[in-house]
Amino acid sequence: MPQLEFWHFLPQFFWLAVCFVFLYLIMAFVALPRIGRVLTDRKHRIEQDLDGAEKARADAEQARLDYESSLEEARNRARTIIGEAVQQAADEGERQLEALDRETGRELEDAQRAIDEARTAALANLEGVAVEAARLATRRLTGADVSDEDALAALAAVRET
Amino acid sequence: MATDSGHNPLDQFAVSPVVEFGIGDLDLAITNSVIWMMAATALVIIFTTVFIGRRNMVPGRMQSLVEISYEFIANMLEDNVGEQGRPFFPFVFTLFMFILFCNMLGMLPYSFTVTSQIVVTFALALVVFIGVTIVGFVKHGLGFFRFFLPHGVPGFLAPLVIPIEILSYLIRPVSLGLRLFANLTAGHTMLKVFAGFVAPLGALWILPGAVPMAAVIGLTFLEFAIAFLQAYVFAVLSCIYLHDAIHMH
Repeated sequence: MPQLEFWHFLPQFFWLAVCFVFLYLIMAFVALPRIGRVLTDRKHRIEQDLDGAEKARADAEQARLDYESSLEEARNRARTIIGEAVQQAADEGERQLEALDRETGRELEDAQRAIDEARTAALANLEGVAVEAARLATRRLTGADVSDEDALAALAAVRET
Repeated sequence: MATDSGHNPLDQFAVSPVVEFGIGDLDLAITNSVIWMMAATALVIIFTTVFIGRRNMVPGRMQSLVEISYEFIANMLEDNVGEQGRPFFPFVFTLFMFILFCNMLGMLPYSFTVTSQIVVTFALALVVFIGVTIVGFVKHGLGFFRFFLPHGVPGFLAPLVIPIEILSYLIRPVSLGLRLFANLTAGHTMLKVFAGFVAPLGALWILPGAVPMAAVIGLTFLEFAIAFLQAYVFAVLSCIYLHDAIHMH
């Protein structure tokens, strides 16, 4: 078996040691730290990106909540404004109605009073006319002049029967 | 063992000097084995440094391979040793990559399989064994000797258990080195044996030659699997030994 020839043991062992130590030093101080750095860099980058995505998601969620709450607020404000406007319009209508009522009542009273006055005046006139008519009728019928006072008294006596 | 035609399946493992070199009386010749060792070292360095771009947020194919290798070994260490295994990560990574690249380079036609050299596999196994033992003593002081008497063993069994435990501990580097050596040697020998049948039988008639050819193709796939698996097994066992040294069973 050629592997058991003793003469090449020492040279192979020597060069193996040289190669292996050299390789070890390169690996330990150059290659592996670099690979490790690349891997950790990537890991950090991925974590960062994930964090960023998570933050963006939270921001979007917050924006949605803000939007919804402002929408709700606007809706509430609109409702209050509409309520107030309706209330105001109703109040205004009632007030105008009341004012109108008062106005009509006053006009009605005035009219009533005018009618009463007119009636009184008319009745007063009527008495004068009746006295005049009674005097004229008496003179024509009897030729006698009757005073106003007598005619009035006679009229009153007739009215009482 | 040598045959007349030089088609001995074991000839592929023959070491021959390429560049003579020595310090004093010591013969440190650069052999064909050493050249492939250096090639594997160079390829591992190229693989792990050239393809890593710092700015690449999305890795390309080669960078993905490098990162997968890194995480594969890191996870292996984490699973088998735990947090305290971190300092040994560069060593385990170097060990795995070196053996893997030596095994894979051995799959190239006309190449040389460094890990089929018993001196190489034993040297690597001894580094692991001695290193792990040192870690054990540094971590636990003389208390590391308690490793040889597991908890819960009745006192009267101690004379029986302790020698067995010591023996099983000492046999670790042997089994570790021998496993890698034997797997690679046997696999490559088998490939050569079957490949040696192809031409003679093929000259006879096409069908008999096709049978060993099919076997060679199948074995080639198997050998690729073994090349990876043995590197993995070596690294995993090193992790397990490290775990024993750090956590004591």
